[in-house]
Amino acid sequence: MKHIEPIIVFKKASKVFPTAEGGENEVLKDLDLSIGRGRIFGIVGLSGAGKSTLIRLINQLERLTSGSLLIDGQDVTKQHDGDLINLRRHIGMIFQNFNLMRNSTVFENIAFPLRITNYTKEYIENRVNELLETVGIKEYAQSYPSKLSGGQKQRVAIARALALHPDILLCDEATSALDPRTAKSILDLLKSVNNDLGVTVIIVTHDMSVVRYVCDDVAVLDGGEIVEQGLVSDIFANPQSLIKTFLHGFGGGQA
Amino acid sequence: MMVYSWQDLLSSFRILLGEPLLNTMAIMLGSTLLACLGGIPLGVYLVLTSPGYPLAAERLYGVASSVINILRSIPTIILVILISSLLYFRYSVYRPTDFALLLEAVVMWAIAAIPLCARLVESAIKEVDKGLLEAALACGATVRQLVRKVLLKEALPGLILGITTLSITILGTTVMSETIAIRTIASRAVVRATIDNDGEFIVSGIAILAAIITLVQTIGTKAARHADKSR
Repeated sequence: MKHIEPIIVFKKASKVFPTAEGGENEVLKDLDLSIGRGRIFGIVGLSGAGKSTLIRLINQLERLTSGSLLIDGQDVTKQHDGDLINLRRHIGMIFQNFNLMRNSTVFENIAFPLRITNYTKEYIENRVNELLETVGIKEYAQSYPSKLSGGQKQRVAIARALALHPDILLCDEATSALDPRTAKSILDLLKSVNNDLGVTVIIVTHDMSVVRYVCDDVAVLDGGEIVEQGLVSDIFANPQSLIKTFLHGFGGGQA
Repeated sequence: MMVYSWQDLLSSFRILLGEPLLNTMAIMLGSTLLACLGGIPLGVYLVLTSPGYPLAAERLYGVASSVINILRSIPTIILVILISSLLYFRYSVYRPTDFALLLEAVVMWAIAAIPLCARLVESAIKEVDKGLLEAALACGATVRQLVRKVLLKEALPGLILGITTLSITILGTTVMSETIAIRTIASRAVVRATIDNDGEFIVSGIAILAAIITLVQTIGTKAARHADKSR
């Protein structure tokens, strides 16, 4: 197996949230995780396992309580606000609920990251048209998101996430609100984004079929810890306890 | 028993539609505009310092919020009289013209309306889906860009409705304007009907106010619907 250079490395990463009662809730515990450049990496786990927190640490929407996080060899936990904004411009993100601006057209939504980065009008125009082509929604450029289907909305969100040529694309339950056929087409698009543009894709999901369909690597998160990790092909060939629960659905695992 | 003729009623309309109408519109529109200049930034500040928002500061939000609650619990007229008594010293320096008095009234009503404006702005912006906030930050937006290009834009329909409500509330409080010698439609109607026993003024006053409110609300609702592309 050839050596894969890591793009994201968590070392002894912990995240603690204060609870409403004044206590502490440790969402991630001393987590070590390395994500290879150019891979499609799946993070699976049950609700409350800490998946969403983990993915938000990567673009620093959440800050680590302790430990370190290296992205491209740089420790981002020590960065200041200006650097953070720069970091985020190299990391795209898409969401379960798409999170598009309802009062802006498809074109304006995709242009948003470009406009806040002070590109020229001509560049933005060209880049957005290119992106519309990439995600296959050229005819909807002047539509408002309310006129689009779920799959089309997610395509707009993907185009927006790709606007600044990111190295990393974060997908937070990006296909969970879509029907299976639409979900598959979005996953195919993510595959081609990974393949053609060389973007490292990180997918958080509770759906094993998503992992099996697109991911190269997978990490299973349970109670804030990684309980299983490896190549998707290996893990599915020899599933351990939690994966079994996933695979067998309601019938499997300890009842 | 107040007895009046058709001629009385007509002439009361004629009187109210003169100077009182001008004063009323000056205060309603001018104070709404000025109140927004103060209230919108304050409302944005309230949102940003709320828990779960980018500049979350529980203490600061708590203090700002209480100050606004206290100011809002004081009736507009008391604030206006307070401000105007603080201004009495000016009579020793110069004698303000009628126009200067009206300008002062517009400013006073605007100051009194800022707390309400801030609350209305706060609630309109908090209607914006928080996921959108996250998406904008993930795109690398600064807080300033987040406010200008996302929050205010997405909250626009709610902001328009809030400002409509604000202007109608200000219109309602003009009933007290004669305490600082400004004659508005509402204040004239009350004074003429109760002190001068000219009952026709309350009838014509209500008719004109109802027309103004209907017009303003209709424009506000239409504008908000036009700004809302989410349906």
